[in-house]
Amino acid sequence: MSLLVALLWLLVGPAHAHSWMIREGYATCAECHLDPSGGGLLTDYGRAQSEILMRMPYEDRAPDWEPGKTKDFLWGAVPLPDWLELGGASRSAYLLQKSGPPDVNTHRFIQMQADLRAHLKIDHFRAYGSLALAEEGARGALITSAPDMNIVSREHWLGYDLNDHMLVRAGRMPLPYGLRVEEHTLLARKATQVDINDRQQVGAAWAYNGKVVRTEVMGIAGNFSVSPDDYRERGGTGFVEWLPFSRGAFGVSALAAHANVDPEFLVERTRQAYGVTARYSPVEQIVVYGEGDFLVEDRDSDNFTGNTGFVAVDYQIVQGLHLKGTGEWLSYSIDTQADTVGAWGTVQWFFAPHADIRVDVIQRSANTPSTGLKVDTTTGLGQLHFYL
Amino acid sequence: MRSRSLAGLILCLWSLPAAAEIKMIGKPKVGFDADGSAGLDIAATAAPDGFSVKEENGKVIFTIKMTSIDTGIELRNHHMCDKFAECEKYPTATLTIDRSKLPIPTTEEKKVSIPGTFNAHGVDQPTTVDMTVKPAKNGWEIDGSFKFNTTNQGIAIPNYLGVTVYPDMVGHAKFTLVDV
Repeated sequence: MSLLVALLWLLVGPAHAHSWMIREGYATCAECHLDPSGGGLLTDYGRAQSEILMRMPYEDRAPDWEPGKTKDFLWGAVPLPDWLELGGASRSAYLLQKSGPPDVNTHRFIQMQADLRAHLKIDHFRAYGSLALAEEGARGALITSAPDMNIVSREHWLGYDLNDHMLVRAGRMPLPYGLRVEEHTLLARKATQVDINDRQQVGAAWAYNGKVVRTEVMGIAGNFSVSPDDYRERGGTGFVEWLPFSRGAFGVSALAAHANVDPEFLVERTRQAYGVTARYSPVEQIVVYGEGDFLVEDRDSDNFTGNTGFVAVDYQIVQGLHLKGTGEWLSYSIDTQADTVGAWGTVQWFFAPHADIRVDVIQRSANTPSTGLKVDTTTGLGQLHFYL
Repeated sequence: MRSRSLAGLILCLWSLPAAAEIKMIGKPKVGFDADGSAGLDIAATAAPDGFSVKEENGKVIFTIKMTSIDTGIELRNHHMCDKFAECEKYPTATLTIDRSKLPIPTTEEKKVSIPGTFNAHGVDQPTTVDMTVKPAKNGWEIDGSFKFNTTNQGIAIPNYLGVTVYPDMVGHAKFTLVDV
């Protein structure tokens, strides 16, 4: 067990998804990611693009420069057969947080993620799975159930490629809704409960990636990491994104799910979310992207609505170095729920093959009208991420 | 009297100017669109100085320098030119139409579909050019497009690390022509 723990600790990686790749004309995700809606393990092509387009080059590249074996699994040390993709990633973070009132100061190291992922493809058939060691969190993807240091499986599914553009899958996978971004703690991602950290659910999905439209719809059978069955949601979710030109994408999303007993609120709950998304790169250096969502909550006797969203501007100073500003909000129609606004400042540097560093400063202000309570939180987060 | 009138008429007809030759002015916007597996979308553009228009022997020839085409990624440009389109061997692609089919001069906007011949990779293929001709302040604005298939042009289907570019593509150009 300790050897497995050690191995999993070394192998890492949360899924990472970069909506701003649209700047390179990549409006769809399926060329680079084995999940057709983005995130997770990269295809061969995606590994190459991460070297060609994302990583900071330290030398002038000739027009015929090709990424070498360092783009491959384990930096090319272990060649894999064509039918197998392996990967993993580690995301280590140091968090500094000040909030109040009352005044609370926190600082700690977090091993955010340590995932090993595998994908098999034989003819049209596909199988995908992940295993990870979660020091804390990821409670929605547990296999073991210790207070900490649990083994989790965020994703595991079987799929069939109907053709070059369509994939059907069944298993545990991220919910197709909204913009799939790596900032899983964004207010919109938390409120819609579709983040890529541990909000994956079991279901069946159909995805289409075309030149003008991409879409995925999924029937939700529930999160089978929780039991009994009363705690599991049933429902459906999906998005459609229109791609009128190679650097623009505009979409709509919808989600509806019901649980007899919501595991967080411990009451019967039906939740709905309806969103619009936009991604646009006016020039290669700049991408503007964002999402707005309308929420409908039915929690036992509490019925209310809300709205949430974010707008981000990513500026690539030079290849591999990004400055990003994000504004976000979450607001509810009832006084007992906090209304929150936030702003992020981010610097992200893709400094080496398979590796990036990221620093975020996040300022949030949450106001609960019924109590008059206003809490301001300032967070500094430094992350080192590398993938195999 | 009658013979002098006839001579005068012949002289007049002799001295009528030949149909005016056309010439491109300004900066054209030229490119081609391709798509591929998994939603791949390529919007390639050509540098303005890589495109030219010439009238010759009753034909209008649109020429593009292959090395002026930018697919958005340098490595992809290199693959396109070196591995597939063989730009060193076939440095230009041309689209040829009959001058008589080009509705210039015109005083009103016209939409036409003109048969043409597309030559790329050393291979001629018939095509149809859909074109809008609009009178402009100087000359006529042309906005045209045509379909072509790279397999028919003898070009192998590009595939890079599992992602395929489909052979059906669309060429398009926007430019201004004048009479000279």
